[in-house]
Amino acid sequence: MYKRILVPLDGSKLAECALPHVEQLANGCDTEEVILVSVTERVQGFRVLEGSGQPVAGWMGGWIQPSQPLGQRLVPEAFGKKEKQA
Amino acid sequence: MYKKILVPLDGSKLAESALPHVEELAKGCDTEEVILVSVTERVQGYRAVEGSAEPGILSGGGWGSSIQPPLQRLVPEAFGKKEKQAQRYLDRVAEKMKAKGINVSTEVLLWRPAEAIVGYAKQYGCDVIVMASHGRSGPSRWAYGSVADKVLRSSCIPVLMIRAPGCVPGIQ
Repeated sequence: MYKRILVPLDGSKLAECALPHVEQLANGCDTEEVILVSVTERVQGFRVLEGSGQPVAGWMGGWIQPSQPLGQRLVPEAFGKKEKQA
Repeated sequence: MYKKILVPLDGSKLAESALPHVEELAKGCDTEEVILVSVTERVQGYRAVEGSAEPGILSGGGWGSSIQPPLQRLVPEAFGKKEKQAQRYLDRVAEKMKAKGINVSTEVLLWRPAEAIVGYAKQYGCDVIVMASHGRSGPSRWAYGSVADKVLRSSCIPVLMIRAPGCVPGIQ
């Protein structure tokens, strides 16, 4: 039933307390993919996620608008220090 | 990992939207027992739960202070109409789940709903609470219903919240 599980992590130990539960779910529920995400609020630049269909290329400046699906994914050349840490 | 799953139901269709998820978890996670609970706020009479350590603190009105765990459990002879209805409802849901090979028990509690659910989970060593985000009071623009919200905030064990149909996406 849970084919894809999204797990937001912020690098803290507290956030990681979800991980044993994710493992349990993934083992028991025929999960195909577990996606770990870390969101940084300010980025120096990003590109549109390939195939995401979101025509927001070139929108710079950092704050990801909440109403918009998070179609952007950081590309390596755009990584700042904060993003590399994550 | 999830040996005991607690599932609060209030009789509404919205609350039942958690049930497919419960069944899935129960099948995949070696669950020993699924406990369906329904909470009624006012009752005509009750007794202390057998074996509960603090039978002395119960007061007569069906309301208690929020710091006490819900030690009361309805006994059949004290059942009023509302409680009997709740029990019949839980029995019906339990039958359906039993037919799928899941070990189910039912419980009618009395207390304020959120306190009862969280207290019961703690007292009986439940591993996870699975509930719908909205119940009897219907879908609303709020992310969670008031009971779901309270359970989420006050529970020390994991809570799996199932969005009830009618969810409006977006951050408000």
